[in-house]
Amino acid sequence: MKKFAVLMLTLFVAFSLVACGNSSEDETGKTEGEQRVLKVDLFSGGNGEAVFTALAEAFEEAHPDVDVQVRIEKELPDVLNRENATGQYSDVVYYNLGQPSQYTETQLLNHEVLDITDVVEAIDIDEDYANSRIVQYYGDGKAYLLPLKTTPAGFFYNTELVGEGKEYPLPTTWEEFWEVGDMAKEDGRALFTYPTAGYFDNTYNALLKQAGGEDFLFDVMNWKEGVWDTDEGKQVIDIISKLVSSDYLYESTVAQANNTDFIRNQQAVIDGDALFMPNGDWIVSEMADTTPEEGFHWGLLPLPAMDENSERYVGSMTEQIWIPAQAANPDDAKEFLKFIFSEEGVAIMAENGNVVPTSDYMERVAAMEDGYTKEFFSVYEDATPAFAAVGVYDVSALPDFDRSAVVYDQINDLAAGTITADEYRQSLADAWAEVAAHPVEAEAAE
Amino acid sequence: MTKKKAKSIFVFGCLAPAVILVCVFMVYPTIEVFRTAFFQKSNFVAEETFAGLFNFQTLLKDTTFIESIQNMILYVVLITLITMTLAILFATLLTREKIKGSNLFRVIFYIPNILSIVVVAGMFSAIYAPTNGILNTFLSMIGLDGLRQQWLGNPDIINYSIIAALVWQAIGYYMVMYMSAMTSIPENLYEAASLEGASRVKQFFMITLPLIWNNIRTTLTFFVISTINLSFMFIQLTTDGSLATETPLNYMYNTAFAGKYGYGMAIGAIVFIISFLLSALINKVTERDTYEF
Repeated sequence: MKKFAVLMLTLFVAFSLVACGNSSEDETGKTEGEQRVLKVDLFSGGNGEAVFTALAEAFEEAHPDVDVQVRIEKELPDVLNRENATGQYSDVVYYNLGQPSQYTETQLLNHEVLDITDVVEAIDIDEDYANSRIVQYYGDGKAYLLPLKTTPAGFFYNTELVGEGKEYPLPTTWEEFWEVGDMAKEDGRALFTYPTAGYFDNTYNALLKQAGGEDFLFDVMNWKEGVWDTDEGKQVIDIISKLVSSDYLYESTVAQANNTDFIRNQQAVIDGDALFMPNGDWIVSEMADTTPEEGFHWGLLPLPAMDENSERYVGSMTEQIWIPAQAANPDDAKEFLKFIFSEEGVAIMAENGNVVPTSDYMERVAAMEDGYTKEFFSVYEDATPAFAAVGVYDVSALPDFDRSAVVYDQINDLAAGTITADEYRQSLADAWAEVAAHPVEAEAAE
Repeated sequence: MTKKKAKSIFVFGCLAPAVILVCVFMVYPTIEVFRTAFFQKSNFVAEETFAGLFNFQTLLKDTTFIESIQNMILYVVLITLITMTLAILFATLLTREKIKGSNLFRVIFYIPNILSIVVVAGMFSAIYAPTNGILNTFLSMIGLDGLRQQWLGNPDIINYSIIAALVWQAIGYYMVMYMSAMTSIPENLYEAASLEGASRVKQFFMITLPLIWNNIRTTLTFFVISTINLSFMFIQLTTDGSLATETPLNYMYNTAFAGKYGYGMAIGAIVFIISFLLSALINKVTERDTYEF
């Protein structure tokens, strides 16, 4: 009797759980009435939601037989992981590389991202971007991620405080940059601050390209052993450690370089306590509430040059959109991606201050109305963009390795004085050696 | 059907829902955690490859993990010692001494406990803020500028800043628990003691402490569990493990949900075992004859 009751109860619970699981399955159906459903899942970041709803509406108008279901989530990886576990997949996902959850990277490593080479070939995308590792993630000539927007990400500052005829001159070389730092120090200001250490990603890209060119940047991003023992590698670490030394770094930076208080570091630039910080164009809207209208205007400085005759660089940030390999409706998903690069899509993106990396994006920006987008993109007039994707390696063989902890979080330790620049460089060198010894198996990358 | 049989069916029927829920949501997931710890798996959908003890071997040489365990031990020891001492002290003062407004104090001490840890983290972010934080501003106000600190930026004190916040958060809860035990001690014991000439301090050590001993033992287990859990949430909201403040659960979370699910579960398994052993050990060493009144 007892056994029977246990069995019945277990069956009952099992059944009800299965029933719960099933009920949501109806939503994954490919068609709804006569329309095909296109599930577009977006990460709710700094770009706002308006642009995506506008894109979806315009796409629906152009494709009346498609019903675009836009979903915008702040905790997108959690939501998607949960759904993937029950076999549900989105048709289009907008989630960037380099996020703490590593969701996009994990999907790429598990081959859960659809090959979109045909899409990239069909659209008018800037060649440098199309051929970059961001798009061709595995380096096998096939495209997987589409950069939906690009934006320069250098050092942000107050043009009312720094610039021609202002309190401080605008530096063009690192030497001048440090001079400005010394001047600022005398006035009780700091030269530099950073919101959190993770914001060094674009600075690193530009610095690496500046120090050793595109090849060196590629080598570093793709875990070539010994890169940190080269003169170029040492030069990059020297600059980073000088930036975060007590001479130049805003005193409270480290204490506030966390997810709760980073905004106070950004405020320090607005308040004039620090002059420069690495950031992106979203800073304008992010800090709008606490930015005074008078006496403050955002400016974007490309990285200072190594010397007067050398080229200048600025990090270029892209955001990526992709199609899951198990998407129910890959055909319309591809059309949606193409639509973003169409005349209409680019125009909608531009209305919301987003620049799609088409082959003529600089001309398009030049034709835009005056404003921050145009001003920020003007840095490309005298600086070369630097962008790169982190190379693949065998994550499962090195579960204790966390790139962002080693590369970025240690900058906090460097700033706090618990490690020296040389220890930092050495730990990078050790990490690179270890990762270089664990490449992804050849067949897995295909 | 005999009466006995009917009764056992009834008892079984009453217990079954709880047992099933515990099995589905506690026992099964725990077994899953231990099982997954032996696999290489990137997230809970991905394919899994059996890896034997690989995850555990890696953990033993993972400096971040070792550092997080060190922090956990530091937190458990210091938070337990400080919170317990203060909670017992306040509980004694509020129950044994006639203090005006003792009920008000009881409420005030308990308030932090009803606040969510998110609110606590927000409050301490305002308290510890370097330039205009409450603490540094207060120190300047009373002329102690020299004591101003980067409370969450100085690696030498950051762990203690976190401990202070967690102690503040926990005191009220344990104080109320000790108070309830203390009020049940018969007054005549204290009367007899004072007639014999025992001082208040002596009364505390000879009467109060031995009689609430069982209660203290129970709370010790709570301390271990809650410190491990709350420090995770607090760290997640403040430093996120930078500047050597990593805690095991925060590390587990950041690993398991960043493409290394199997490894994260191995961390979870170890933390489970450690907290289990720690509680058992504490229970064993604090064992003594129970005094009854």
